[in-house]
Amino acid sequence: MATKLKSADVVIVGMGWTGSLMANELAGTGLRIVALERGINRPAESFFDPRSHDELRYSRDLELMQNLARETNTFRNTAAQTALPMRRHGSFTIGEGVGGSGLHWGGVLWRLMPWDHEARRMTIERYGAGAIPQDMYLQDWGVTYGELEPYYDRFEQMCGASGKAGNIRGRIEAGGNPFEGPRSREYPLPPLTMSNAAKLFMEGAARIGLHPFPAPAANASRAWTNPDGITYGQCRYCGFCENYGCEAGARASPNQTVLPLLAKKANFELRTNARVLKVNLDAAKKRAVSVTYVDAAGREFEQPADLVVLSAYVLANVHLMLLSGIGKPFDPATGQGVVGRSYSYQIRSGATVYTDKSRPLNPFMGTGALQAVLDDYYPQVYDSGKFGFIGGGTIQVASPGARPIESRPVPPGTPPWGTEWKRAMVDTYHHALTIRNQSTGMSYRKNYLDLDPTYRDGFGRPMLRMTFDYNDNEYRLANHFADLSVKIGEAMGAGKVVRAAPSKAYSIVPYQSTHNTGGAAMGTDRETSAVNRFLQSWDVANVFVVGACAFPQNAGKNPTGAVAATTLWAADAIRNRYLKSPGALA
Amino acid sequence: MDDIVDKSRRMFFVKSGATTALAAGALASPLAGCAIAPAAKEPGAKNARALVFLTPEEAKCVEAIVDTFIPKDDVGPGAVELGVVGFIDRRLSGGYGLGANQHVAGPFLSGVAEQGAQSALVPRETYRIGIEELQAHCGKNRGGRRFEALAPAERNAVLHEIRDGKLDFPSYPARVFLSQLFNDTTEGYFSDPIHGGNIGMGSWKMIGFPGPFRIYTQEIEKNRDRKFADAPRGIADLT
Repeated sequence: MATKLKSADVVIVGMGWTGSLMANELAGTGLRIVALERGINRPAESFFDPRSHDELRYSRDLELMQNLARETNTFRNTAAQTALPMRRHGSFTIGEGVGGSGLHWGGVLWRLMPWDHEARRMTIERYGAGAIPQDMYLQDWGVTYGELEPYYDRFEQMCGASGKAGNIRGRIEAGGNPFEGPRSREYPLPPLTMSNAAKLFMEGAARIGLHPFPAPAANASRAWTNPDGITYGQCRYCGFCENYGCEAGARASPNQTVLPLLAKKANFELRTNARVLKVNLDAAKKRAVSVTYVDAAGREFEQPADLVVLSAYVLANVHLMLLSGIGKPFDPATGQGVVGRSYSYQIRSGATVYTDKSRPLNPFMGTGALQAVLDDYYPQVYDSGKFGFIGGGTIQVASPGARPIESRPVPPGTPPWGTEWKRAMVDTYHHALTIRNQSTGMSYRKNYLDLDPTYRDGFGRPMLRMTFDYNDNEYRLANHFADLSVKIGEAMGAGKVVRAAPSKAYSIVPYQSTHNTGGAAMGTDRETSAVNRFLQSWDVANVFVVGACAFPQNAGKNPTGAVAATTLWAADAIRNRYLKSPGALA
Repeated sequence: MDDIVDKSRRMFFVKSGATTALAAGALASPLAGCAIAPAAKEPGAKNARALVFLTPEEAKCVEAIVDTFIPKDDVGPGAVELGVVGFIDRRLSGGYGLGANQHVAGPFLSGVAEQGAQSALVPRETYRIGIEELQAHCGKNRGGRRFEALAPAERNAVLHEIRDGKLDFPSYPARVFLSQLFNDTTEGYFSDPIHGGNIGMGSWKMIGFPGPFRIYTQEIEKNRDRKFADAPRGIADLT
């Protein structure tokens, strides 16, 4: 029997970037806000300790990630297969605890391109509606880059973003990304120092007329105090960034950037070890009345609230919607329904370059967002229609730090162990880099999320079931990008370039990226989106669902910047519109 | 606490000259190189080096396997002298060995490779069952000898047979055993010495990794076309 608690004005489910930003934006209203976080709290200062750089503990045992013994999802490539549990961490790693995946991210802080927000309109404009395959759900977000610009800007200021603008109010700036959408101003901090590998890539790419630039980073290139009074240390390029907490207070995270602001608000209460199991609706399923959660001891509580914000990870948000009956579940047989629709991921390919012995890479020097990157092949910039696919993406060389358990490249043909393997490993450690693409991932009718009919999690709930595989469009893209990567590798004048083709099918096993998107898409049509352009449920108006679950298809860039910008956009709509007149905003 | 255990282990190694003994291929002693050989005479002094999960017989087999994966040679130290057997034994005795953080609730159905490992096996069982089946195979096909009694080239050949799918186990795919052992060997060899392996940061010195918690803010520019080659420092050196 659940203990019923005193009602709150707002309940926030999950305290990663989206939950903490939402709480911070709404705290000024004076409303009583209760945030429920399933994991523990790790203050930013708790990582100012050499033990925070223990590769075995954080990269192999994945201490900051969710415990799969309790919660995981099932997976299959096609609806003809039986989905089975993801029993070990693999393809993506979802954070647990305050900060969520924002505590262990690398810090790559993109604004998505104007195309990403209006992919359908721009594709039709260029190639005609007939170019879009029937089973592809290519959709606009319902909010444009221009509308989100102030929110992208605000988040960059909060994070102490380090980068070089390429387009300030339409004026093209040398050294930045000439293809980006217009920005209102320069980045708060200059770009990170490029690693040896990133330099080689930039030299090679420039040699063949491309436009490489340093990726924007939430790893502070200099010590800095942001407009909220949060101070960042200077990035140490220590090479222990993604999967880790920051030992220098240099990388923005909810824990470092937002929680100290919330700690000062008397109307905000954080409850950790509070795992929300479902949202309770009224009899008509039109209004959320409360959420049910369990504490660390398994005791059940009911927290009533006037407004519910779902701000857990992509998959958990969709899971809660399905378990709670918020919106109509997607049915691939009929194509009807919206919750679980438009789930997408990114396909990968590239090339490995074995570099000249005269230029050692010092591969252990780096940070999560240290990348040289180019957008010459991004949709809108590049004519992908000539190559038979919709989409595109970035090509990059990243230097996150070659930690020795994880990063020991050897050339093809090397024996799998023994003396010759050791010799190759030692010879290559300073001399290998990977050029890789991060590409758009379109959504399709056959790829979706729903509730598993067989497997249940540790709390007795049906697991979320993921049905996903790549499509011809994505294979054409990835193969083309592998060829482009080889061309850049060759332009670097390196010793040997080896093409990396995309995998034959999507696999849940190797780590790829924690860039899952969709399942609760935003849009302007309630038949094809789960939330409106303000991230408000079409069906249950006092529920807002924030995060990358709102992206109708995957971008060719890391999602966090857009996750934050859309959250700030939704918070603005709640503060200035919803609270004045609670009800549907669209 | 960890630091104290670790430092004492490394001190023991230096004093006992265990590395030299290993160079001579001292597989006769099951505990050689596991940082678990007899040390001081005071009661309790051997606790930090005792086997916890593996039996002495199993430890001999694991030692022979990790020595095949990463032998001592002109390139650098071997897995045995860097304490990898002791590391694996401690890993298996804790949460990792029991599959903590692994989803081990049924039903257990087999699927396609893209769905990942589906069996109920946890690392402890992978070792216990796999070692027994490897020994049974060698007993039958290698003249009644145990794996560790094979010559290095023969051991290597057996492991390659598993890799190539020519040798399988009755209870579970032998490749699972091989990749579990290889994974744990590299973790023990390359992880921070606070976990008991990578004694003296031997693997880091070999590849030129300077250790965690470095500050490279100024070093990237200073080392554009040369190796940054400062001696490594581990976590215990910094705490």
